[in-house]
Amino acid sequence: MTIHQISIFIENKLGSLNEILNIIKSERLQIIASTVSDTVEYGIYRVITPEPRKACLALKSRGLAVNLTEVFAISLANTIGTAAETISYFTLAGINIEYMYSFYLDNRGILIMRTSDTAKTMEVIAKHKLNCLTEEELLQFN
Amino acid sequence: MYLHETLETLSRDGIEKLQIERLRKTLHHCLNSPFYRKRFAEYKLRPEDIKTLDDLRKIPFTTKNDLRENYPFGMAAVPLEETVRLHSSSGTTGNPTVVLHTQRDLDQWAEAVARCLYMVGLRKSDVFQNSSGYGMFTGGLGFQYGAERLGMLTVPAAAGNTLRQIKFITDFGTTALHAIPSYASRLYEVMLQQGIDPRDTKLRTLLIGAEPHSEAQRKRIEEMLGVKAYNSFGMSEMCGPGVAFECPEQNGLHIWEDYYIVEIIDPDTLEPVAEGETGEMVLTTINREAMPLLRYRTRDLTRILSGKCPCGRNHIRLDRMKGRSDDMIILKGVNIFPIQVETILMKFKELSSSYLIVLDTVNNNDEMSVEVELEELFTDDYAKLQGLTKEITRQLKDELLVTPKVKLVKKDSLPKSEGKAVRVKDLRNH
Repeated sequence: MTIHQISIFIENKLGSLNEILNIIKSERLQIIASTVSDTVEYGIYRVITPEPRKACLALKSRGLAVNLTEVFAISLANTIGTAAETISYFTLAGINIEYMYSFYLDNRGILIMRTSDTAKTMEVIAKHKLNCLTEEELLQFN
Repeated sequence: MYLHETLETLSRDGIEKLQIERLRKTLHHCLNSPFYRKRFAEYKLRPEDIKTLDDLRKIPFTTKNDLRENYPFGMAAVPLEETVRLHSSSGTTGNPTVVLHTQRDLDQWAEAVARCLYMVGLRKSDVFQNSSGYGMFTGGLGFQYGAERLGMLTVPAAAGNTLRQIKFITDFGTTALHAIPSYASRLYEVMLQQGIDPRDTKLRTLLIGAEPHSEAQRKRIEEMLGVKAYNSFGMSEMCGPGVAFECPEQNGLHIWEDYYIVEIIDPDTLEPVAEGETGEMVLTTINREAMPLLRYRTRDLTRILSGKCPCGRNHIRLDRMKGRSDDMIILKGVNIFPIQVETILMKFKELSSSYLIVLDTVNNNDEMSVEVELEELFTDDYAKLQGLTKEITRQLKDELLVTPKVKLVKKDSLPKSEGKAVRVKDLRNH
């Protein structure tokens, strides 16, 4: 039900992202989606990539501080209001969304999110029969 | 002009005669100290072997490490019931150092401080405010007792709370203030913010010390606050403030030679430097009961100024301190060794072994930041990363007594720990 995201420590300094992307490039890794937010001194660059375990080891060997994080990738129909409805299930279950970002795949919206309670999130997903992307499905990008 | 006229105006011959007399007494007294008794035996030394001041060189040096190894009371030369106070260094890395005082020691210390204050023109009618930390930090109680001895009205404001310090200065009519140089600049800024012109207060004399500063910085403080600022030198191993002080000439610090014998040595060869050359100051206490120290290596670098001082005192003058022969950092009057920082950082497995201490002046305020490398990204959670820096900050603060800013940086971006890595970057404008 979950996939793994790669989280990379990044300094808020000119060229930091460039440096990381060059390493990702030289390791020939595909970026399916990624996000980094503005912070004062440092941040976490979060990346969805096929074969995250392999990618994680490769980036560690290149000297990056990397964390493999379990996240949900919920696939939503491309209609107005679907996201609002979906998120309301989690709100009603008392689940806090720690961060979320999204991308578009085969005419469906994919919400990548990490929540305050993974087990409870799985219950909500099962109860409402939400569609989740698997790591196998990510392999098509390789 | 002189509080202790006879002692302060002794001729060079007079000073040396007094020194050899007090040194002999001190050497005999040292046999009461377990540490010196053992050391004398090791070196087959007898107090009688020291007949002249030159003979002093037969005595081995005493170091801070000796004080640490003999923690807490191994250096004492009197029974503990004869002592009335101890001061201790802040370090919890390894043993701290302890300095013991008898009532006579405290009286003599207060006399020395009073002599310094009188020398720069302070009198009974002055109002003296002390912005030093009290407690174990000797700049608090040391100045307090000296100022009371002189009969001044004392305001033991202690450190911090700038608004309150300024209120005291204006409400109590403070005429003399003891502050570390960087704090003097801070006071000026806050006074301006409050719409107070420092020249409208009664403040006329500033005693600055416990932190390295340049002549330019002194001039700036004098102009900003409309005061005369005098350089103070002290160290807790000797007693605290009152070891050496500037006279109204503001040209070098008279070190009280009826209390100390001064040597300047080359820290590498341990031989005396040529006259007037810079080296490490070595002090022997000759007016102390509880804990005499023979040839104590202060690690402070300075030189002896030549020539006669127009103020009439023949006690030698030291140039302002030029730095340290070890890696000690002085920040806001607090002594910090990089090893203290290192020991704390080693406890965090999330960090690599590389680190960098950066000292900088921000808004006239000296600050310390510690850059540490994140070895593993152990979490994807910002709150947990912030929690890590908060915990590092807390532990460093407990150890150092100053609050550093902790900055996480990426792996391999700091100088490596092998060899002689640069651990301290000092960007302060002194």
